[in-house]
Amino acid sequence: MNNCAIRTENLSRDYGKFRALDNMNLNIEKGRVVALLGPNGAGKTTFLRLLMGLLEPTLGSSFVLQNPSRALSKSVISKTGYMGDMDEPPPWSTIRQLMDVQADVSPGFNRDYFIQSMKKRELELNKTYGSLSKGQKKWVRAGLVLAGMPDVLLLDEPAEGLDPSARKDLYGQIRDYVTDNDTTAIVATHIIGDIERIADDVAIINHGHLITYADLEDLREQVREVQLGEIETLPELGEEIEVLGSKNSDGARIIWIKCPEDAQQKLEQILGEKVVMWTVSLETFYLALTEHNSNKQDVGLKEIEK
Amino acid sequence: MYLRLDYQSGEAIYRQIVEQIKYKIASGELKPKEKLPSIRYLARQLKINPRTVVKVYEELQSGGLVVRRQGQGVFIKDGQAAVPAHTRSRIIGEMAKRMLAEASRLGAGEEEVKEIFNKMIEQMRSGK
Repeated sequence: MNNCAIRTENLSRDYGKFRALDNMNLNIEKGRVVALLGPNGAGKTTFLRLLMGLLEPTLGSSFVLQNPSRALSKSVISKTGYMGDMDEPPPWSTIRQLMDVQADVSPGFNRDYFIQSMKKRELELNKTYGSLSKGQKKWVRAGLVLAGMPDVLLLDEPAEGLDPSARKDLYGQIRDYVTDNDTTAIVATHIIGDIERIADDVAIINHGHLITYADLEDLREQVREVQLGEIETLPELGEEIEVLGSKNSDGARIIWIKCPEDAQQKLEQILGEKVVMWTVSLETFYLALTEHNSNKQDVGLKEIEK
Repeated sequence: MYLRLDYQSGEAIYRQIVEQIKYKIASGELKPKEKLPSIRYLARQLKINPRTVVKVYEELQSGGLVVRRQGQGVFIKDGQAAVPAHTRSRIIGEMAKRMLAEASRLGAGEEEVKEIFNKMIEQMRSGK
């Protein structure tokens, strides 16, 4: 009945007077890979740590697999794979030791999966963690998390500092894991290019606010960049068409809009033949929302409760 | 089956795949009765959600290009879809109109359009 993997209600967190996360309402279905995007300091890490119960919320609450984050049951903890940015294993331990330790604390740990994953990168189990390159370290840590066979993955910048090929491999492994096991993943990052290839949904946070949560395929169908050309003022577009942001560039006025498929013909009629419209990449959409939007609070908030 | 996804274009992924499979059928690279990859295989290969592949196959099925056989998979349809000649002509005419309007907006003249068109037909014939 309940298809919900992650749910938050008015989730907020202050550090002193600074509000790091403000009133976040989010509902993530099972089976999705969610790209959690936002500039550095936007609140991504705070959000993941709140979900894991590693931080107390100032206001509101969150749930992982219907379990409250503030009191996750043992079984939910063992079904949740968290890869934070702070828990580096000791440099002197070997990969095999790390595997053994993880297998002890994680009841569902799959040694075969882990060993296979190390083989893919030709990593021998008797190597010490400290002797590995940055990319190999990330690979080992991701392997330890995935081999726990979690139902929910919460990954904080798992590919940071990796070269493009290692990043692609790591994200590929995450995508395959979710596809094969019908699980859910949230991947926090500020690098859009690679995550866009494997993600189903995107959640964008800026200054502690969730400014959008949407299905990427829907965005590709609905978001358009419009060059207004000679039109001075924007005509009335109607309720179903949302203006996401705008900018002036070299004398041209650009706006970004979100228009449901069934309203696209109407849009073309309103704007007429003089305007030019393009589909946009996630990066353009992201910049439209985080840098060029005039009303940061309201944009996209309507659809958060799916 | 090699498919190339362009994430920079902003075009929906399922649409890109549908278009490329249609092209492969038209060019003969995919033959009648040929089996398409399973949903899981294609999802894994392209690193996309299996639901996106389901949407692709549904779209191709409703367009009459493939058939789904229970428990066996999805196959390229044998023979031509039975669309009457006048309907066919109307549909293709509409598409040509849209294409020509776009070409004129881009500043391409009649000769250039014809040239591109012939080149595409040639490419399809050689199955590229």
